[in-house]
Amino acid sequence: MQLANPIYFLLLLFIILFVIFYFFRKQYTKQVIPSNLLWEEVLKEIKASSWFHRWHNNVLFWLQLICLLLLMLALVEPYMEKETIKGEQIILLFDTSASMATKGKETNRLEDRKERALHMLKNKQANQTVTIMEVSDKPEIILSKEKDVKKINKVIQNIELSYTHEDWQSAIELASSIAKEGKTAIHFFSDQVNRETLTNLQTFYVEVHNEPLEEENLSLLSFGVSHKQDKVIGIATVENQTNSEKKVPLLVESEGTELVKKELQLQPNEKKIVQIQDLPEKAYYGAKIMIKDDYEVDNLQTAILQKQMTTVYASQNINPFILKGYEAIGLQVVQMEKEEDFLQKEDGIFLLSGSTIPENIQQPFVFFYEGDKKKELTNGIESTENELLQRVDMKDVYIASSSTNTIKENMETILKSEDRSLVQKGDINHQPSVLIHFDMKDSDWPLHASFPIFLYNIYQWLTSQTSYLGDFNPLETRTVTINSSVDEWDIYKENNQLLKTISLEKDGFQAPSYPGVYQLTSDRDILYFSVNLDDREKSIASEKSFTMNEDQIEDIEVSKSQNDWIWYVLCALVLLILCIEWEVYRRADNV
Amino acid sequence: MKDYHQLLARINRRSLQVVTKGKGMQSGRRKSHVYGTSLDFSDYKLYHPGDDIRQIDWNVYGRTNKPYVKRFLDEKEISVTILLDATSSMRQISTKWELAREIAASLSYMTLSHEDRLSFSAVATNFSFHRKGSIHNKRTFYELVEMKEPVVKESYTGSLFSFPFTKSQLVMLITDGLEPIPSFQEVFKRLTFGKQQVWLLQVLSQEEMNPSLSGDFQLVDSEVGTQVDVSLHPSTKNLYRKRLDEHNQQLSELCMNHGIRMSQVTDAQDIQSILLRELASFGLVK
Repeated sequence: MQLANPIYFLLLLFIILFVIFYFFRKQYTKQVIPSNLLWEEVLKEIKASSWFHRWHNNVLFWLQLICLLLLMLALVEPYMEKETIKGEQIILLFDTSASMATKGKETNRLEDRKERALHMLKNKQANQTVTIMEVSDKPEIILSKEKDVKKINKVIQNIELSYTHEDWQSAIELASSIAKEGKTAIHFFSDQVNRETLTNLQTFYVEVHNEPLEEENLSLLSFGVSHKQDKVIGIATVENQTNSEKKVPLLVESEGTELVKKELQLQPNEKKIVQIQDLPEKAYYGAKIMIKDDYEVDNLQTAILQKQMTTVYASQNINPFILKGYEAIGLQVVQMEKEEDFLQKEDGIFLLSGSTIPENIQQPFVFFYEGDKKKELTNGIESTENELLQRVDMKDVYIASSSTNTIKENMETILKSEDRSLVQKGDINHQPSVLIHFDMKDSDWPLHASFPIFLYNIYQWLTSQTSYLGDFNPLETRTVTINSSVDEWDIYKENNQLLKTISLEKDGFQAPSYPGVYQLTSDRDILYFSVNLDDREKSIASEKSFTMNEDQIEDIEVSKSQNDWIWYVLCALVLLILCIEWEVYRRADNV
Repeated sequence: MKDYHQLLARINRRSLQVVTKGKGMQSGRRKSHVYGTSLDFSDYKLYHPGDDIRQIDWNVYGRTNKPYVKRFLDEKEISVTILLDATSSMRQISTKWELAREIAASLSYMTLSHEDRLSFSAVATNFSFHRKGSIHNKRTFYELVEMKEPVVKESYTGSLFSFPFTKSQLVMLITDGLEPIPSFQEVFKRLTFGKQQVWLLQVLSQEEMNPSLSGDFQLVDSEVGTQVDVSLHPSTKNLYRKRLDEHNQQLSELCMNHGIRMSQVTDAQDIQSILLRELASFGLVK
């Protein structure tokens, strides 16, 4: 025989308690007195007069009866039907987009929703599983089919804002792929989910927890800067999303210094476009509306003067391998008909070819030699340690011949054969440029896997020649090539508070989630980058809560373990009554 | 042993008051309604033949020319019965028992000193005697004070009910009265049958009047041994006192109905003050 619950031997303590009680019962001292005649009568009188004694026999009877009834009730294990959450499987989708940072009842909307979810899960039954999805720009399942309430609560509490724009489409696809018809309840904890968003979920029970509140917001919708006749001008769009007139200062700053401050007057729901003249030339500009509203992350927007070069302009006769290479990277490649057309373009990298280096180009460019004046190479190729040749293996590359008359003396040679430069990099007209002194036709390099990498390295190097790293979406991951031997970089917030230290080699670069301007620093270099909100997250309008497809769910069986505590209470009552009974017995028998 | 000389000297001159005249056979010091030879003048009566001519008052004859006989009252003894309760209830508290014996002894002493006939009985024991004459007074006194007779029966009233009474002028019951009222009633009926004068002296101890105990006690009856578990709180003690008063009230009412005079003494009092003040004011001792 085995004991299933030896822990209950602890109840022996009660027996000890009762033995102690027994020792403390009334002890009567014997005393001989002349006559009991009167005392007997006195006792009779007391017993006759006190209600307690009149009833004590009955009291014992009733107490015993109650005791037995309670024990019986405890054994039948009563439970109350609590309000339960529907569905065997519960899927919770938490919107972590930027608009959830809007001030809510407590700190922000997300915290409110988390609170609400935790409150809702208090009624979760032991046999219900919970799946939690975080809906950002890349929705992901962060907890799958969990039954343990503690774990669930912990995961919910750890959900943080991503400041991205939520991708409902893929979130809903993901949710419906794991949901079972009739058994799954899907809960949305968001602010802007409406019935149109959920048209693909017609076969599932859906509850949307939106909770609209009265919130005030002023938004800096957009901000941009551009050259206009040697001057830099900025244009900002500010929207007053409130129903009252607002005065708000607009501030433009760069690298921590204030450039312009402008006072704006905005009518209710007015959208105003503001022009800012005469900005000094800076790597980037940050515009801010200085107001404390309920949604603060949309009060900041950065802009760069230097356009991000996503277009590659190539001359007519350039090697198609090179064009294919750049297309493969994901850049837009435009071929120009005439050489003069290049002079009008300002927002791209030029791919030029010819027998001489062009002199009047004001943009970063790559020059590919094409011509007849070339000389055969006799020796092998020597590559130097350079970022342009990162991960580029030149061992098996064969180059037949190269030009000799295009070599620039003041530029760095990164690839050579004997003392003849094959590839050079440096500045021409204060613009970064790369010179390739051999004809692609004379080489098998384009057939090697390292060639597109080389092209990409060139692109990265040409575009990273400023102290401004770029404009990122919250939590965006992007490969960043920085011309530096240092691998450890610190990310600082604007107020010089260290955010984190990253290793570009190991971790790669991921932008922080909170919008703003950041510094990426190593020992010597300071680079700036900014995190900007998605334009779709600049409104904080919220929808009402609703429940959809209530007929699409089966009632689940209520598990008994929910109300375990009732029989504990009953047993405790029995114990209490036993004590009362003991006391009654003690008193009743001996006055 | 206490010194009783002073007490005896003081009560020597006292006597017990009896309403009825002496009815005894032998002469004593009590005036009888029978004409006799005492020095106390009673009345005159015309001489009739057969009267003692020695008793003719010649002075009266000289004034009235009629022969008158001068008569004197006779002096007779009376019979006094003292029935001392000697059950365990009396003996349990020593002061109470001592007081009861002293009272019994003093009353016996007074009776004997006054040349009355004394029947003494320690009820519930085998101790009893009949005596007369002051010659026995001191011996009897000390005998009673030092009495150590064992108890043979446990009920005062029960013993009295079957007690062989001799008719006497004065019956004195010395008891604590802690027995049921109905049994007292039976006894009283028997006692008052022959126009005897009955006194009831209730002797109680202070402890019985106002119990000083407190706490939880199992009270054991000294006579029958019954046990009662009581928590002695002020409230229960109050109830007890009330009950005692009620009991005494009933007892005194019963006495009144039977023409019995009752007096209550406690062991808080001094024997001298009891005899010379209490009992004197009640009219028992003169």
